[in-house]
Amino acid sequence: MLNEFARAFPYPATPDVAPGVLMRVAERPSAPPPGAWRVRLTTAVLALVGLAAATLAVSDGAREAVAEFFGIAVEGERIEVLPTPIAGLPTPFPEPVDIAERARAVTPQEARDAVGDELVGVPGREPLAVYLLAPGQAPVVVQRYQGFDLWQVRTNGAPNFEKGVIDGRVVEEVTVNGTAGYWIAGGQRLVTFLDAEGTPVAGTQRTVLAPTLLWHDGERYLRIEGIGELAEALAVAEGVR
Amino acid sequence: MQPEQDDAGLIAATKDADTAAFGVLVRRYQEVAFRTAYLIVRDAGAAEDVTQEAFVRAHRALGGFRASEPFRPWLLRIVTNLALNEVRSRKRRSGLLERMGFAVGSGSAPAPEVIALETERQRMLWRAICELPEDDRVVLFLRHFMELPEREIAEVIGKAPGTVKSRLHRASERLRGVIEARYPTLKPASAGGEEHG
Repeated sequence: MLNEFARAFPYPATPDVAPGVLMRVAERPSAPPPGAWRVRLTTAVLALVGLAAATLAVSDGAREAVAEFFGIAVEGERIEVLPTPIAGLPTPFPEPVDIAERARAVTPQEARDAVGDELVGVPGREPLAVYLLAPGQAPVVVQRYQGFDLWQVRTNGAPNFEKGVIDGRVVEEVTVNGTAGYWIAGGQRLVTFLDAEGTPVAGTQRTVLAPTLLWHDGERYLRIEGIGELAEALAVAEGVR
Repeated sequence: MQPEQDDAGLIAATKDADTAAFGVLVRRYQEVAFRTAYLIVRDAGAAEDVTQEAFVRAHRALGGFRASEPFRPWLLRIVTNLALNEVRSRKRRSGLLERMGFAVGSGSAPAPEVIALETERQRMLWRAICELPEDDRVVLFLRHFMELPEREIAEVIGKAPGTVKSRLHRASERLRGVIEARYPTLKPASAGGEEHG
């Protein structure tokens, strides 16, 4: 009976996806190779959720970028495109909080020991402070520079990075030193650490207002938070060593 | 002439930047891809998105695809993974929204469609299948609904053919167990365990 049931199963009519596929294939001939980030970008934990206010106009490019981000480029990171909230209704997000209030100030050596990696840096600039966050699976070092924070995580293969973005948030695919990266901007987002099982860690939610540039360098996941313009963020990111 | 080309020829042409050749491949396999996705995500719109995305990814990965390998199981592996990711993502989104008490538009997060099955027996059997673990459902879908041979299923799920055989047996036994426990008016012998091979 199973076979009989299966053969008579009422599938919807198959849509012709060929035009859409071919259009996307033609538009994106130089997409980053699948798997380039797949293994490496599987560390730290974040969830970004946009708010209703200041929702930006949705461009096809932004949607595409979200889809990309969600898929091939950052497998292991969870990026959820959330439904747009109803305008005017309150959203129960916490007040923005400085990461320094959630992190422990450490010395550079303590930070190196914690992440098991050399700290990257921005040539010509000295960090004002170094913080360590370790509520999730992988410890995160945040170096505070004048005007921005530089996040560094050494990946360990475990998928524990989750991001949620409102459909319509600006998510732009960029290249940092030849590696795929993403620029996320436009309104508030929520950041949540997850544990090794992928479960949100209670008390770690943090509302983020600043634009963020994400990229990867070898086995490091890097993130600049706080630079308002993409060009400037890219210039800083490309100098990070 | 192109629609009569075999997969290997179309793949070779696609690698030579012949987009039209890939279009032929898409149209050749979009039905099986869409149906596989639909069985897993149970939503026509999501299944269409998964299908389109699967072909785009297949195109991007085609450079590493060996022409001597069959295209269909390779494609269905992409489809299956994307569809399962979509289901998991939905659960996470739902959980995230719930935790946040997020106010969303009622039409913005569509629930899976109610599949129009004609008889109560069909509805019971479908519910029984849906109660199975994900791995069990996938092998039953591939074997009984998509009618793939075990060796192709092995390629789709990335396991040895012997593992597929044991998984099919286990899935059928579990289906039988669900039917006996929850839908006893469906005869256990109809669960399908002896039908595959």
